Amino acid sequence: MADGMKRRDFLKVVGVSGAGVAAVGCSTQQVDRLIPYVIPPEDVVPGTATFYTSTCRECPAGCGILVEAHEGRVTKVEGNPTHPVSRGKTCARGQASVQGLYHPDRYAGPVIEESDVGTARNVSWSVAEQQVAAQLAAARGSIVYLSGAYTGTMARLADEFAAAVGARRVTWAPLEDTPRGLDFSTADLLIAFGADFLETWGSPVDYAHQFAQMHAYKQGGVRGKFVWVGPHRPLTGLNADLWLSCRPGTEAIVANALASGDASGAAAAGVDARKLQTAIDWYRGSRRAVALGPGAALRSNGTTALDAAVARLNRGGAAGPATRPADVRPVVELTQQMMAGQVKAILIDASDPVFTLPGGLKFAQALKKVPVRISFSSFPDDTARICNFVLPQNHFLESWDDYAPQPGVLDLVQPAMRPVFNTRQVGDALLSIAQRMGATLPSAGAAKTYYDYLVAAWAGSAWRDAVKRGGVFAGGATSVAAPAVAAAAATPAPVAAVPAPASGAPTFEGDANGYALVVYPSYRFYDGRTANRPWLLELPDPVTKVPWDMWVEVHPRTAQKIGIKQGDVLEVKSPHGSIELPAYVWPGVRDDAVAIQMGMGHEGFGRWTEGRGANPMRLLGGAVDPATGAFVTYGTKVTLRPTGEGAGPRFHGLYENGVRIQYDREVSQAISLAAIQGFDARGPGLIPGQEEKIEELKGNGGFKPEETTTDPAGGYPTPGTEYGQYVPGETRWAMAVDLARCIGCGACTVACYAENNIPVVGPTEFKRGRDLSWLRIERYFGVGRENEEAYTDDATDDVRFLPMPCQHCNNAPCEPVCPVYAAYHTPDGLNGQVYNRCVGTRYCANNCPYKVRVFNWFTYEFAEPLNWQLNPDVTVREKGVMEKCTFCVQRIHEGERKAAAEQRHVRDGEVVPACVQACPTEVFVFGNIRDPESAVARAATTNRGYRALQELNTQPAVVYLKKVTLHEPRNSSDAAEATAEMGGTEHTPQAGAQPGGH
Amino acid sequence: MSKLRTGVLGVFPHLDTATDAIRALKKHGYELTVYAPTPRHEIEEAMETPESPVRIFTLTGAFTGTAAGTALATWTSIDWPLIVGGKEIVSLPAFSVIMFELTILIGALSTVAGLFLLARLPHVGPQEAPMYHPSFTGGNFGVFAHAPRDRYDEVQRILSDAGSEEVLVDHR
Amino acid sequence: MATETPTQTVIRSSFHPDVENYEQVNRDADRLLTKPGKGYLALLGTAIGLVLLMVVAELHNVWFGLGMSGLTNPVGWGVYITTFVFWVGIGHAGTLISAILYLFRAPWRQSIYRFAEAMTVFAVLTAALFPIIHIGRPWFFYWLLPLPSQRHLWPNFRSPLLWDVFAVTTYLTVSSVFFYIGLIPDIAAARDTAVNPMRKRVYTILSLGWKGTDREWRHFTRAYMFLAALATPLVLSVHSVVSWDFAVSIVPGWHTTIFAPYFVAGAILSGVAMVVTLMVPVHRIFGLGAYFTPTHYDRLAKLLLLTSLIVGYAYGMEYFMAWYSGELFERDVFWDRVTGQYWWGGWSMITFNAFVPQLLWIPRIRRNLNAFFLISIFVNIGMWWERFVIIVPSLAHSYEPWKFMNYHLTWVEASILLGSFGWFFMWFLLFLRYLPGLSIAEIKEVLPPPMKRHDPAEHMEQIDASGPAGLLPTGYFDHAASR
Repeated sequence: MADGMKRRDFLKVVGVSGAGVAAVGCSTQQVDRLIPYVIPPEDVVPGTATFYTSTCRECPAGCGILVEAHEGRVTKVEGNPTHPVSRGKTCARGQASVQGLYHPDRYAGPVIEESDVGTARNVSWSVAEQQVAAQLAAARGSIVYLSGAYTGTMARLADEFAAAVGARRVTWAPLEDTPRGLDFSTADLLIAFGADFLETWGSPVDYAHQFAQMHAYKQGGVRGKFVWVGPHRPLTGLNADLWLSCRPGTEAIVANALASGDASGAAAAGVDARKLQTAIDWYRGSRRAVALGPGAALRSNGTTALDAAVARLNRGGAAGPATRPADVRPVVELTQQMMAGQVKAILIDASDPVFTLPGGLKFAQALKKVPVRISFSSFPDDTARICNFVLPQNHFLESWDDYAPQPGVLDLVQPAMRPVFNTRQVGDALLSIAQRMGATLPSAGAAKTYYDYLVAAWAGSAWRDAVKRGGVFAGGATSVAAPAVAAAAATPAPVAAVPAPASGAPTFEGDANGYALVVYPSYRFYDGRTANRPWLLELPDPVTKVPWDMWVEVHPRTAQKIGIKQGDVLEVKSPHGSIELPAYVWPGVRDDAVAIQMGMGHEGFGRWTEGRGANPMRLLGGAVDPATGAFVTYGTKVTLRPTGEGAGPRFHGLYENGVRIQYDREVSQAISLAAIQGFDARGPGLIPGQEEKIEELKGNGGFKPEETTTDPAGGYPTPGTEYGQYVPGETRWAMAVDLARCIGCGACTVACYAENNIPVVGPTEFKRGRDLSWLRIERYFGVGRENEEAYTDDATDDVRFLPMPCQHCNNAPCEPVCPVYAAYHTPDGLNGQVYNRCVGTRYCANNCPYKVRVFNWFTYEFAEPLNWQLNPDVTVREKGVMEKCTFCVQRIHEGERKAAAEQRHVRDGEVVPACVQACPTEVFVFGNIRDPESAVARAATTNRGYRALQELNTQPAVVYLKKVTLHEPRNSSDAAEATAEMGGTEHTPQAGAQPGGH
Repeated sequence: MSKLRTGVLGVFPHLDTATDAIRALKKHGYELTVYAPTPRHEIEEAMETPESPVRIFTLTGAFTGTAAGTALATWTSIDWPLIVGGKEIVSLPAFSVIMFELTILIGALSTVAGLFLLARLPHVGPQEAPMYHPSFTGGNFGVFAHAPRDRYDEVQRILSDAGSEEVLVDHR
Repeated sequence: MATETPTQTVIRSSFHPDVENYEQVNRDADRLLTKPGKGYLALLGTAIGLVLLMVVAELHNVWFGLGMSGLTNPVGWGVYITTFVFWVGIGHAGTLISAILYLFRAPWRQSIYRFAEAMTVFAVLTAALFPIIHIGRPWFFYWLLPLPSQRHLWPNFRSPLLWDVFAVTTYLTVSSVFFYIGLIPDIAAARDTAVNPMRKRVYTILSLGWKGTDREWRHFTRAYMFLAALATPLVLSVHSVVSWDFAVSIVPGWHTTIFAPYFVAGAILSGVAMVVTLMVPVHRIFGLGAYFTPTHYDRLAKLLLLTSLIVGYAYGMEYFMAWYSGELFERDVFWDRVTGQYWWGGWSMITFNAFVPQLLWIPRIRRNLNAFFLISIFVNIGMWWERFVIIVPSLAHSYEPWKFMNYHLTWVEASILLGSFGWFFMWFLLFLRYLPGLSIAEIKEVLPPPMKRHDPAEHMEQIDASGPAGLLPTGYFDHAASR
């Protein structure tokens, strides 16, 4: 059996690694011939997951991950708890990386396109490499190797290869030049200048965690503040306590005003003077203030002043060494040379340059002028599509590599399964090409594969240890010497804080009366490299809540001025090009600017992405900031023209999920810092704002909630229902959700999709409200009844995020109405849903006040080989069946089995549902509420606790902890809501802007 | 008691003449089978028939239904106790609906059973309705006196005296 | 044999002055069973066509999944349940007329109850389709029945849907039985006059050999009365149970104690309307003026008026409570009903059910067949909308703001809605053609019996058809009851 041979080879490789990994992958061609485990490999217990340490390469953050594989197939990615960057957490992109691995539209093998006939054909690797070698040999001298930001061993290999074949190396790594490894977890004031550190800037998972550390409310009442400076509010900005929205280009003025404490510049910068004053006061009162930025979206042609001012703002210890954005002039030159026909051959292993480079550069045109175009891309992305040699590379989950994301961290990338398709990782291809060209690489030695090369490079250092741990971490418990080669290559290189050659104030090209264009990176798609993952497309954007689509953000006043409403298509025109996008009308962007997210508008890149949205890079000119050499992303003004095309017929056009205001439902509540401090001072067990409500309810005969309304342990099983196994047990699973920590990113949602085999329904079905998400993040701009609330300038000042999983109510309304007992209550307090019993009356969903039950309207497809990702521990549901969050019951049972085997009780924190596991800010606490010592019990009984819609007496097992605001929050349009007893509240513009709030 | 097969039939287009004949014949102690196109109380009075026992069936049926409903709902709930919505395992208020419906259902069905039993429906063969004539579902009434051959004359006389349009004799 | 006409002046029933004698009833009843015209066949063809349409649509549901409907996450119930409730409601008037009016001894019921009862049976037969159509896995619908299984799992008797199963099946069974029992003597009559041998054989079997002997009548009449006595509480319970499908839930707009009486009244309103909708054409086509007299329409109109007033009251009370309770969720839902996406549905329900029927206060309108027919159509439409308005906007605007989402009907649902009407009329038309549409035996009860000597009028109570005495007992039954 050929398969068997391959398996043995693989095991040999794995054996060397010493990580005790063993897995049998199978590529698509072999799947039908596979006879799994006639004699199982000794290290693999069928039915039990194997975890491999590796590193996420979806973005440059380099988060350490654990890759879960069942019988040789990767099913899920989770954070590596011992890793300094990820701390066991992940972001949505990391969770979705497995869909990159199993994406049905990946290249199945090498493709060569004869330049004369122009038809592509699939060839074997040997043929492909042979031809490439021949072509390169011919083009020797005028070869360019355009790559991403290689570090460590790969960087060395690339250099050696380039030298050997006579190629020049050029680097293009969009967004990857932002500082990683900063430390602001102890700051009490953050000032970010367009630095979207919760999304893409630097190291999002690490920074999200640090942000929660400094910003979330902790018992004892300390809580850092966060000021956002920029023309619009991306997710990070939305999490700020204060938004200084200054006129585009005047960021430096604001920075200086903060530093100097002189608010006189407010008018010049077009900032609300009171807001600026508040910020200044905060800055004055801060012990440690950290300034971040400017972000990738604010790279103007005059950043010097801003850089200096920002650097000056740091007080009480900067977050880390100042860095300078990467100098992209080589890329510009390269483009010009290509245009001039001076490049004979180009190898591309960068992030889709055709898509990510500014349209003004006309890179695609230039590339076509290069006779030999070799792409290593795994996907038919916009670049690969116009290359005539495609040598598809492995997904990082199929590759060996090392990677140095930040000083002191050297990650190891380890394959968790055999390649799904007939692909090879770039290192292997380079070695083999070089060898075919007869070139010798100095340090390659006998290395035939990149794996050998890598191990050789690590010679002497603690390879085994690194494989086990997932890398080498300075200051780690057992810190080991990193191999010289890698340690040298820690990027980005820190630069001295000396001001760069001075440049003037930022200037904007284009129509002077136009709107400043803000092109900002996407949390879901980064620069577009993850835009073809169905989960990420299905996940509504954390801010706009738009799934499967792209938009241009315009301010309500702007919309009024040009006479459009949400969904109307606008032509956005710059000197360099124009794109058409539907308008998203909201006050989170200045009225003299428009914001467009990167990441959509691919011409290729797979079935789900092709032709979806539009690419804002087309609008940029490709000018370079003389000071830093970075592309100017923030120097263009555009004009808007309604195309007259509206939202279109029903279920077409832009779709915004959910609503913007709470209609007084008070599902997502907040409390002012002053108030909660007051309550905490008086001890636990108070439910702010609820006391009178309870009295009121007691009045209504027959309907009396428990005294301790935040204790889900109480009242279950309800008196009279103790029976058989239902006598009050020792376990009652419950969850606490801290809204003060939630940043609304949606990593939990994607983790839930990955863990529970939740199908993706696609744009049209989503618009019908049929998305199957078990855990949704709700986002509210207003709390009251009037929709206008969501459109005032201050509407985004108190944004509420609310993760909404199944509440597992004690008195679950969904259960008694099911005629076939498909919905019932388990003895350990779960609200069980038995798919096999369900006949699909949908009564349970109708009767669920939280609307967390979702119905399988069809039998949904998992396009081969995406179905390889399915979690074998979870049923795949068929049409006509109701489903919902189960608190990851499969993980609960796994924990219970383990405990039973060891004859003990399940420990607190031993059972970790997927959402809890993924959340980078540790919003969720899960455990047994019956154990008063458990974390969840302690969290649930704090003064911030409340239960959604608790007046319905459903007694949910999910307890929310109120968001803590610096101003006096409104929880409904009812003005009396703000309780009088709350102590001295800080004056903030939000409070001032909402007279009803006092 | 099993009635005689033989006898004489009188056909009456009028109700009053028919009832006269019935009274007269009963006076002579004949057993009768009376045909009517529609139920008329005059006939029942003349026949002096006792109250129909169908109601017994209805009553027992209804009570059986109630019991069945209670038993079904309660036992099945206890057989595999599952808590739903924090409600009691035996939630009588909810079960009352089942009890009621089964009361009606079984009550009705047993009533019909009673009817068929007592009225000897469906019937086969003529013995239940000797000398039946199609016009009895139209406009005519019929009075059949079960009598031995030797008393035919008397019966014929009584019938024609009462005003029978037509007197037919069973010649079996 | 010759049936001589009485010498003296013929006494006529004040209800059916144009009916001379018993035989005429048989003749007229037979007339309905004779060869149908082209119109009939056309109607039947249309009905069957619609049924086929429904079958095609339902196959889509089964094959592709319920996604073919317009249902969505917050709005789990739509046209299917609406139509289910609609048809169950229609059924009620039939039982009201055949059972309740029977117990009240309303003699004007005799000539129309057969139609009404047939309507009931077929309406419930139609409604019974929908619980199966609307569930996600119809092939498992039998899991709702209390059948022993190797899984030892019984249905959940706390679920209103299971109450539904019991209520509807019981209602279907009992009303069918009641219908058939009542038919037996008339089938016998049809048998005795049938010429077509095939028909004769079938009728002979169906009539169970009924001969109309004193024994048969004696037990028949009692059994019939007890069935009526059982059917009466049943009919009131069925729509109450259906209403509890909603009232037992916690959905704002559903969770109301008024629902049971509200639904029953609504059911009777829609049912009576449907009776009229059916009666008028039949009346016209078969020329049944002798049996469907102005008195009958007058009584029906009053019934319609009464129930319409009750329903109108319920509407008012709902809105009053929504306002008076101060309950946020309740208020929003009711506001949405009349101002939301389906505001026109909300208003047509209020207008057609509460206001339009008020026209019937005017005797001229209520005795004008065309006007009455038109009004009945309006009420039918209004009552369908009532159910829709109760179901959809409530779900679209329940507690969780994030899931405010509306519902849009698809061609599949539309086809199944139409198909349900096809299905109903198919059965009704077949009934007209093959079973006695007039209750021969019972109409004779309200006719003066043929008498030779003394005045037949003595044997039949004088009934002033126009006055309230119309509800007074007629001859046989009060006597029997007084036993």
